[in-house]
Amino acid sequence: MNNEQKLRNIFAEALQINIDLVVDDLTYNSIPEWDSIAHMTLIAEIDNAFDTMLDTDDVLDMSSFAKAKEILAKYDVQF
Amino acid sequence: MISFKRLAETDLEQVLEWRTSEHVTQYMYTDIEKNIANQKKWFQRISQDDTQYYWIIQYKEIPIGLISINQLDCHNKKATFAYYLGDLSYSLVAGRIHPYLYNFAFFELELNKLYAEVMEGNDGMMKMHQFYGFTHAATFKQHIYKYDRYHDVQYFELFASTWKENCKKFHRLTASFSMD
Repeated sequence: MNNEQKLRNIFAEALQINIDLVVDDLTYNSIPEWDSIAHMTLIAEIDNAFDTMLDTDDVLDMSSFAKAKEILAKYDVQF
Repeated sequence: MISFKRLAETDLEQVLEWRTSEHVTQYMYTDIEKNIANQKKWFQRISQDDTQYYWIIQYKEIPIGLISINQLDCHNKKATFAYYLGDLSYSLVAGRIHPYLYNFAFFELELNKLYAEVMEGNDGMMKMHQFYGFTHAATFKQHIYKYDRYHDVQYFELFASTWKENCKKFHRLTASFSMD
């Protein structure tokens, strides 16, 4: 499984949505499942899976699936 | 960067604005009037009370919410706390704020237990407590009368041992909480 698939699985599980909904333009608050509480779970799952500890600026900035990949690239996660 | 500034009289208008907004007041036990004179009286009361402390939550020095420790009991080493985000445009970081308070409570104040009451319907807050290691200890049936009916209240508690042993990855989220 590559990192993109891994991240898509994390989004699907954290937000409890079908993986088909996890596309680049999936954005925060665009679906009821992605609220501030789900975002907390999402960040924790990302930190666990990629062994990161995201900075608060990045937590605030991670408002779409595409943005998540961009941010994780800063932490040396390759996509 | 998240920081915490001790609540000052100059913050009261902002806090009153937040406290009377629908997204904050809906899960509070009481609704308050938008009355700055009453807000100042409340501030005078809490300023002389060494069992409760309030801080403005700041993100890059922008005020975004309020957090407090209440019913601080130094003999039994326990306290409760409250929190709300006033500015919802920062809701993405809502889940990152609590660990700062827990680290302060357990490592600096050396409390043994934090406890929290959550009014029914506030499912997000319940999930957040459980995410950070709180256990559900009790249900207080028909505990609050608001909006013309009784509401149940869920009681959660978090022990220092749980936080220290099971939540290590959050220990780096520390900040200064002035009590002066």
